[in-house]
Amino acid sequence: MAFIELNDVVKTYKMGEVEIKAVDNITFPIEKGEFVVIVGPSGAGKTTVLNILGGMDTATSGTITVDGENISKFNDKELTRYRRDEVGFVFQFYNLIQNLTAAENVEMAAQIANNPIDPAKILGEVGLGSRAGNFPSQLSGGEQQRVSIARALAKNPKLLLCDEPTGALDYITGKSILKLLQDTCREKGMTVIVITHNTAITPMADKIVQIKNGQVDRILINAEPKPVEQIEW
Amino acid sequence: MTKSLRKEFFMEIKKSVSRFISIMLIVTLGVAFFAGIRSSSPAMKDSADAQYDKENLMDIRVVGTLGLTETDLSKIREIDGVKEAEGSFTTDFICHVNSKEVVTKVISMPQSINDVKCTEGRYPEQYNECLASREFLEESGLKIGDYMTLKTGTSESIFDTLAAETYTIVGICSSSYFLNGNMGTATVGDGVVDGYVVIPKESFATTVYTSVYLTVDGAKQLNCFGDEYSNLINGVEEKLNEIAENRCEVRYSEVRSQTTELLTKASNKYNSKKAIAESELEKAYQELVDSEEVLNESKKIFEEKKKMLEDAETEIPLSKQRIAEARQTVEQLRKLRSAASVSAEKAESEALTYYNNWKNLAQNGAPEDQVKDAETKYNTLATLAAFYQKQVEDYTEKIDSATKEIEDGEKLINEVQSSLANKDRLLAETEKQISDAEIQLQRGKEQYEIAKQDAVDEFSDAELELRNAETRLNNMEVPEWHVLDRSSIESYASFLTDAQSIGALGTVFPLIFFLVAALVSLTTMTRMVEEQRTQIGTLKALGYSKTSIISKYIMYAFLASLAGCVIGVLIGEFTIPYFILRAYKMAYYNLKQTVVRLNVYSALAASVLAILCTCLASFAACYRELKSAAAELMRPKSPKVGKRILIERMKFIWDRLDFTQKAACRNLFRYKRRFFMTLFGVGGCMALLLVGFGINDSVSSMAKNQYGKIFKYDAVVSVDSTITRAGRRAMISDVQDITEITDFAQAHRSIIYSANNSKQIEDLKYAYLVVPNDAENFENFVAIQPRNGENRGIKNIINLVRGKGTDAATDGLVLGDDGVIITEKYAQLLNVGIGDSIFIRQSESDSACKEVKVSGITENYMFNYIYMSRSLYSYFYGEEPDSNILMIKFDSKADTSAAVDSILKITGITSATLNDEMLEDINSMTGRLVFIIIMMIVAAALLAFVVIYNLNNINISERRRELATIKLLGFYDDEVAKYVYRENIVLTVLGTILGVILGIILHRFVMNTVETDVYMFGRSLKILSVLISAVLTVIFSMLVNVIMYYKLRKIDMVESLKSVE
Repeated sequence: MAFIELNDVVKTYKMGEVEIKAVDNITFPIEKGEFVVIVGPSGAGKTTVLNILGGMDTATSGTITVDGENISKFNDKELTRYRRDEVGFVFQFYNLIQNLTAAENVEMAAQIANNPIDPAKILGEVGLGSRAGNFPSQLSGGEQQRVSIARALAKNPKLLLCDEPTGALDYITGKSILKLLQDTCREKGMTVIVITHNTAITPMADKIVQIKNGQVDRILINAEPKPVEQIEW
Repeated sequence: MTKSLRKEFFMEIKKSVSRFISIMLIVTLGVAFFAGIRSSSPAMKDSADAQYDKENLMDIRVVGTLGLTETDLSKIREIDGVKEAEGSFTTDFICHVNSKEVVTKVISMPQSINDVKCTEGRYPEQYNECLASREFLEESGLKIGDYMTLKTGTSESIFDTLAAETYTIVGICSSSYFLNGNMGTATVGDGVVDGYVVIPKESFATTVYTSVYLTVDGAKQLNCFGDEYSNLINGVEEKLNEIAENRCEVRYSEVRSQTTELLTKASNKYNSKKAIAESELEKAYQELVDSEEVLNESKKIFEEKKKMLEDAETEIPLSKQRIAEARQTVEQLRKLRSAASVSAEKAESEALTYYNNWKNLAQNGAPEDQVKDAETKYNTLATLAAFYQKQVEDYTEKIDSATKEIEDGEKLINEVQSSLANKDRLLAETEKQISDAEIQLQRGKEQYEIAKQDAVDEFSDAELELRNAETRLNNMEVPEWHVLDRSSIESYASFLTDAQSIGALGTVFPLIFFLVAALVSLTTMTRMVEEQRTQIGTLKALGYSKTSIISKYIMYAFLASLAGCVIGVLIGEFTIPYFILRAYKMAYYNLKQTVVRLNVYSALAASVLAILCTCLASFAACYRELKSAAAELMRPKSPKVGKRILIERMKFIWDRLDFTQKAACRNLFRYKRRFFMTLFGVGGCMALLLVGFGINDSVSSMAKNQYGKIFKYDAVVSVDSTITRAGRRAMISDVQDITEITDFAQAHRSIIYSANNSKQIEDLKYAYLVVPNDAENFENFVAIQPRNGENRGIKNIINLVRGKGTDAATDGLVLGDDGVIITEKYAQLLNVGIGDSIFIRQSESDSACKEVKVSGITENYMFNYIYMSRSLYSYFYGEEPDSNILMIKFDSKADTSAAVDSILKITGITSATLNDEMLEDINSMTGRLVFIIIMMIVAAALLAFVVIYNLNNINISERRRELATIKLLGFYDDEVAKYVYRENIVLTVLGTILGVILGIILHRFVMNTVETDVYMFGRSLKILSVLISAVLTVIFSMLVNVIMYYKLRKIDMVESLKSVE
């Protein structure tokens, strides 16, 4: 059994009288330490998959197993615990607390985690050791995203969920962030899931899950993923 | 506004109903309070005016210092502008019911003016029937059908004034002249009118009216509290004053001739009475002198007898010795006699021998010379024998006489001894007789002295009275007319003050709500504009003018506040005045009318203010945004920059805080507007609560302070003013005999009127003039000291904590002869300070005033007092003050009601008032304050809810993304709540502290505003009130937080993934 498994996951929303299937029977596995890119056009159901995988939403049917736990049966409180202890989030708009410094933003996550990593160390690892005392507004977008990644990693999660991590960044910065994510995956053996509409970055992944109209269109396995430096878009 | 914009506008309202309603509600609240409280004062005035018009209350009252005659009345009727004029008799009497003294105002039945309504029973038909007011019946305990007997309370006869002294109560009446129980002061009894009765005009024996009431043409159409009315009345008053001088001259000459006649009669009567009394006293004195002489004689005899007996006693041993000596002499004489008799016998026998020898010789014829010799020898011896014999006889005689002497002596001694044995008894008897006589004489003397003193007192009293009457006559001045308007009616004046107090409240309280309303709508509108940044940018980019963009928001605010104004005006103007009127009607129980009109002025003022506030607020919010370029507007607004705060520099504290605490600290300073608004809202809530409870504290502490701290005595009794000096002495000793009484003090108490200048004759402020007999001992009965330390309660707690004990009373003031000590409120009323002069009149119509310096101002809460020394009083009035009250202290364990019963049985004491009873009365009266307190609590709760709810709402919506993020990061609901609440808690605590300060200031203002002339409320707040207010504030704030908790839970974390709108 794979580290993460989605089996026949269906999610329907009711909009008045109409039922909309945002996710229709999705099934795919993710191995531990894999760098997975979930890719698809707008409205394909990527975000719904992210929500379900991140424990922010529950599936209408189907099972989601993460490290042996079936999270599809979780209630609100269990889902919160799951998010708290097992998932690290990286947002498109960083979502840092404006009123806390970079270090404090990381501490915030570390404080609630079960088995946190030293915030200072993590900040050093993402290359922001010298800017720990700055407020988000004093940092560039890339730096903010690094803080966001550090915050996610500080919790020492089982998987890292990244929602369009480069969406708000320029090309070079975006690349450096992707590099950081890839390095984290390779060096720490972290399971990294990146959700994006940008197909150009798929070559760097171990596994690519293409989603179209709420269904898995294709699952590609990259035997030899390219380093980020060699990718261009 | 284009069609599409219009459509969008209505869609906007529909979409954000809760925001629309929140602006509307805060405006409703502000407007309701503003317009409601503002129109309360007019509603009170309208209601009273309606009542006055209905019962045809007088507009003007003319009082003559020597009364008014029928001619005066007809002259008044002739004046232009006078609609009706009616003469009336009013006199104060005393009615004794069950040893209770009820000061009763007796009024003649009016024909038309000052209509008296019979609410129960019937109108009087006979000259000896009366209507009684509710207050009279309550005070006396009498009911319809009972009889009541009036007394003058002075030495004058009741029949000088009234045709009958006993009246049957046939009905209960009410009059708008007396809206409440305050019927003013009286010159009899304890000086305060307890109730009134109305009797038929013909029951008055005099023909001189005490006052003339009149109504003015066209006055009814005006509101009697308005300027127009005052102007109209003033015009007629001037005309009345014009004829006054002439009328007074006429009256003066009339009265003067009458009085002179009366005085002469009285003087004659006095002189003849005095002569008789003096001769009687003289006789009694002579008798005393006689009996004293008799007593002295018998004393002398007694002394002589005593001396003799004592002499005899000393002679007994002497006689005894003499007897013993005589016995010895007898013994010696006996010896001498037996020796002499032996010698006589021997000489006889020898003589016989010689005789025989001679005879023998002669017979034998012995020689002649031998015979001769023998004859000689015989003759010699015979002579010798005869000598001895004679000696024996002498001795016998001597012995006999000595024996006789001894016997006599012994007999005498026996006699003396027996008489001495009786001596003590005898002497004792005599002595007792004498001392009895002496005591009797002493008693006679004392009685004589008392009788003499009584007579002297009585005559000096009478003489004084006569002399006073004479002086009065000599000093009699031309009478004056006092032309008084409605403000001379006690209940009218106090009602006006109350209405003005409410009016003053209306200026401050609503402002708090208004300020809050403005701030809340500013925040809400700013938030709305911020949320719609992108839209504004888009419209701007599309080429819409600033005006058309802004107009949407201004219209939004306008509609919301307009709706709020309409609802607020309707609710406020029709409920608040109604409730306030109802509360005041409890005090002014004779006020039956309720006139609550829509007060257009305050409605418009409130609405315009409210609409201006919200519209300006929205304009300000939009304007700032619109200054930015369209492109900038379409980009997300850069979030507020995080800032370092001061505490961060203190590493040792900062490092200990977790990130939520750190964030909370920074947030507090980051959102300054919210910071101050919450502070203000919570502070306002706390302040209102504090005022509500503070009113209760002040009023209840007023009575408690007065009867606990200031008045240290337990009861005050009135002394009959006609009491003689002897009667007073008897009364004092009777009072001393009551065991429950531990101490008492005599004093003079009367009502006086004063102003801070000598010219003022209207609107004089009355006070009790108290002249203690013993100024030093008086301190044990009334605390005369300056009030110090506004918050002694708090001070005491601090002192207790420091282990110092409570603050002892401060040094008392000394009642000297250089000036008077007046009470604090009185000083405030007269606007005088220490060292200033006040001008005292003995009655409102007293033409002479005395100037006196204020030497001290003393703490006092109820009624006004002037304390004056005895010598100063004598100096001013030329006579000793009449000690007409006793202040009494009871043993703390004593049964006071029993003590009062025995006090009232003493002759010369007319009434007794227990301070505890007064305290109870006042405490029950303050019950109506509960309404005001509830109003304050409701207002405070509303304020707290609206402000805290609104701000929290904005806070949460502003930080929605941040909260969604931390939720997504795995924060449990309670952790999220804590993250938000921490700021609220800090703000609530800070706001509460601010509220204490605000509350203390506001409380003081309110108490100053609602105070009447005779009361001074306590200025301090109880710690308990502060605690309760703080707890309530925290509860209100917590309640809002609980509601917010559900809102927090509803935040969708998926929002955190969306881009910034």
